[in-house]
Amino acid sequence: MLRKWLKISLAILLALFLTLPLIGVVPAQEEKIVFRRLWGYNPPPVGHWNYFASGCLPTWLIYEPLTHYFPANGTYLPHLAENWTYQDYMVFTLKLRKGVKWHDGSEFNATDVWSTWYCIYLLKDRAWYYLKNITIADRYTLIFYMSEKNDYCPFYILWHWVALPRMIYGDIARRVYEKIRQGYNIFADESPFVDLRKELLDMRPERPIGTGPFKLKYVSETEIVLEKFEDYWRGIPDIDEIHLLRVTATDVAWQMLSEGQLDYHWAIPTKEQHDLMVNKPYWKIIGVPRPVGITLYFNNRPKRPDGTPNPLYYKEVRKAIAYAINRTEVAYVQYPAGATPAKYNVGFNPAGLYAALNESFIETWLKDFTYDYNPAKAEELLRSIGCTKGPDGIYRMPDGTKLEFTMKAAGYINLQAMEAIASQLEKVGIKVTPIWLDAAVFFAPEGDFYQGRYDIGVGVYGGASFSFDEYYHKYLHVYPGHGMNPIQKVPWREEPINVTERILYAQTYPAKCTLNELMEIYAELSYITCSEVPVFTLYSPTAYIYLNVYTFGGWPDPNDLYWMGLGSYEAHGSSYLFRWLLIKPNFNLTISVTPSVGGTTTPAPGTARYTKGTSIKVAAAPASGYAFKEWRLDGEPAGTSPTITVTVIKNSILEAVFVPMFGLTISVTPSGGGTTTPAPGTYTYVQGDKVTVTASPAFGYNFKEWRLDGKPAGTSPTITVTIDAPHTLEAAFERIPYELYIGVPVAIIVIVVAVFLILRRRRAVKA
Amino acid sequence: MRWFIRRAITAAITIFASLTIIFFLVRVMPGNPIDMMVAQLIMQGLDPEEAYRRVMAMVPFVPTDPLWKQYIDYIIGFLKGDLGRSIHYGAPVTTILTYGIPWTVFLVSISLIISFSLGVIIGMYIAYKRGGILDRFLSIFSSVTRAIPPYVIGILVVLIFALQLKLFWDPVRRSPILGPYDPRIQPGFTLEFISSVLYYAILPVASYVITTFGAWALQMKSSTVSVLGEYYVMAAEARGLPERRIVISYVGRNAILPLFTSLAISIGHIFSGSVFIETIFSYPGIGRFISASISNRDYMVISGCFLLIVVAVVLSNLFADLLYGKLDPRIRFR
Repeated sequence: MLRKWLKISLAILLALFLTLPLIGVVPAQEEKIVFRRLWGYNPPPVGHWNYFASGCLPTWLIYEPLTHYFPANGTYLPHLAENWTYQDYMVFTLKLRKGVKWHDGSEFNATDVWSTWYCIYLLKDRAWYYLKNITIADRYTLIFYMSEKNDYCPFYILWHWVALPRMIYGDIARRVYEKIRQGYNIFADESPFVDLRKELLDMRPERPIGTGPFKLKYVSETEIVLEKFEDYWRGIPDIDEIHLLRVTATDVAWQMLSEGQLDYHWAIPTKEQHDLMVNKPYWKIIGVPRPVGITLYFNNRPKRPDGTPNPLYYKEVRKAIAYAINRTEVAYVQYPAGATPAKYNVGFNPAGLYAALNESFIETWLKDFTYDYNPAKAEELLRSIGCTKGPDGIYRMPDGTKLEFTMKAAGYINLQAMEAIASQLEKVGIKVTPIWLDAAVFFAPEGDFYQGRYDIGVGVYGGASFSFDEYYHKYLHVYPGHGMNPIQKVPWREEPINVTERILYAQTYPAKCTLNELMEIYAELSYITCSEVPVFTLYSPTAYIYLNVYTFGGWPDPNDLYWMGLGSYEAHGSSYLFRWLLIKPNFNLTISVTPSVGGTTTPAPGTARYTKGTSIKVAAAPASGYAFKEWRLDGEPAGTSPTITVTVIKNSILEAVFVPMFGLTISVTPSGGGTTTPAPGTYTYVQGDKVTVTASPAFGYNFKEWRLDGKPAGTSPTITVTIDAPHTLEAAFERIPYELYIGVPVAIIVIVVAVFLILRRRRAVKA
Repeated sequence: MRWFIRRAITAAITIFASLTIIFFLVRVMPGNPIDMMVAQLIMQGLDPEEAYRRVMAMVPFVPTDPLWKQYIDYIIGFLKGDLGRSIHYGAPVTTILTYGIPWTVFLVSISLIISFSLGVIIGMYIAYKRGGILDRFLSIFSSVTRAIPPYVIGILVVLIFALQLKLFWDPVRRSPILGPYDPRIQPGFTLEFISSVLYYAILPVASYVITTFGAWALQMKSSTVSVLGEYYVMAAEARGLPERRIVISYVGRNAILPLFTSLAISIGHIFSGSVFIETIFSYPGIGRFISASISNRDYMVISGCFLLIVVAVVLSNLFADLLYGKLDPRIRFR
């Protein structure tokens, strides 16, 4: 019995288990404008909303910087900051915008920016090397006082760091300020600030409070949902919600993308992933070169660590390697979807070429240093210094040292690209063995890269300042690095220059070094990098931005310089599209004609997508036998003029209503019996018109009746005909009978006269 | 009793030894969490010096003590129930584990029960029908699904059922059914929430079951075949007992014995077996933290997670030994 009940209970539980999920939750149908993109994040509890601590969830649509920065031309667009001045590179005065609200309704003002910067102090941000003090001049004005002249801080004040709420961070900021006022300096001694920093990093605000166009709705394992902030200072966003989807399986993510389930994506894709998107009609793809690229670092020392001669000491060998590598081919091995090979071997990214060097300099001094793929020239260079090829196909130096090298890498490049380089070099008799190492080990200060324990090392290039600092300051001054002789010559100067001293001087810009001097230094270092080839710049990957132009519009033109800034700082940069309320939903405008044969429109009938706010002019042209009656927009009358301008604000149906025209033929019977108004003839009227016709008999006639389509239709001289089909209308007149009207009285008179005369004769006779 | 005490001491020594090995092994790995975070920032184009400064300022603490001191502190902390603090996340490891354990246990235990039950039933069936077409088909199917890695099945399941067939697809959110439950539902002991949790568990459970039931089926088949040849089964048939009774009481109960041991051991592997499934289906379990902590060289979280696995396996082995003695009276431990 017990067993039986046990079985029944198990069966019920099983049934419940199987059916419960099938009850399902029917999600509420919501008509919202939702923007979707992918975003990788750690869900709570590890993900959190403390902007300063590692693991912070994405806040780039919640918090805002003071401006938007365009890297392509170095301009700042005012945003939370209205304007600013930088006096003598020492006093930076910032005026904030009024009327900006935080998501909790409180007002944004100078205290918020002040609090943010005193919390940044706890992170020992480099900007604070240059900052002395920040004061609040008035409710919306701050003054940043520098301790030395610098061109570093404005970027970080205006763009890099966002404005954070005093409600969350203000208390810690005040205590930091107190410590500084007491004379403590975190750069000299961290210990007085350790507890404050721990408190700052351990903070876990329940939710972020920003000034951005979107505020947090909720965060889950699979998505962060932001909803529009109705009091956003620029206006109410047209997008109701933004969903940041966390999809950890890459294949699933790209499948969703290719099906149009997402609206935006930024990636450095594989070829297969990129090909999924290329031919899709509703995706616009913009390629943006990354500012960071791959550089080969040569060990320039005369001897290797084991004491053997180092062939790479000779610039001819380094140049030969440069000529022997087909950068374009290698770039596409690593980035089959696209990459940008470096044109000149200046050592920094090509995107910044014309910002760091002027065009005439490049034309005059650098045009011979493109190192275009030329294996023959590579071998010629080797032979010019006495190298000979051995029986194994590998060149040897005159002292017998083989041109055999190791190439160490731990990132930036991939193994396939390294093997492609090795294969290309092998063809010209240089043997290179790729070695892959752990990044944290290789790039550690005591690791092989900075200690120069390599023949060829693979590193990174960035902007001119960063790259030259790597090659000629860090490497020759701070760390052993590639070991190049720092004393070099440039053809336009008689005396040699010390590259380390030059880059150190460049870093005093604008305090000591002037802009002209800075450009001169960049020119010198570029030339040396080109001519001596201590390093060899290869290529940078192309990042692709995928825009769903079916669901949303308002995207800047693909050729707009704005996109160039999304090679890095992507989230920060792409948020401009939302902060400036540029992105708007697309809606359908369906143009139809009724009846379908009644006419046509320009644009032609059909459904097209338009971005919200677009005004479309539509003209109606009736077909023969039809007339335009009116426009109907979503079923409501919208005008009777054949041309209408529609502003798209939602999915709409615009209907051009045409009506057929019918003839009305008016005639009279008998002819000459009278006339009508309008006169007899054939007229065309629009269906539904009511036409009044009046009959006027001619002299001698009376109006008898109307005949409509042959049938009697009234005897009143006026008739109103409703035009619902072709009709004939006949006015029937009848002749007035003159015999009666004249003959009868004459007859009566004759009879009376005759009777009188007869009666008079009788009287006469009697008499 | 003596046997139990002996096994308990062995288990404790095993756990302690594993703890020690794990502690030093993860620290022998190249790299450390600080350098990993610095390398990530360098990859994004940040100046290495600036990246290092930024990381040093953002991490909650930096382990600077000698390794032996860190080890002693770790053992003392372990005995007090403190597994340290994550360098990457700044949260106590116990908090991270506490958050992840229930979801992993929920997902993998349901999957285990279903795959075990299914495997046992199929295994017995194909043992009875051995040699037939169904036997061949199911045996090959079981072998194939057993050989396919779970993450491959997981991705295929999502691609086919969610993206292509739109069976597990949220039309309002326009995304596949991933995660532990519908994020629009407030967690709580409500029918709505429970049914959402079960609904969202269908795909990950199915992926896990597909990849694991094959092993149980083949094992059960082998065990059943060997039992079918026993004399007591023949005797039961000769006595004219109903076939159903023979299958369940004579064959099934004896054939399933070895599988119970495997099942007990599998329980111990609950935490280790979930890494890929949880990653693909965005399940907030231990598996997710294991893969992330290894990438980030987050020593404390790695140690905590592996310790959890070791403890689970050791205890499950102990349980398996105990269970077998109870199930099979012929087995007794002294």
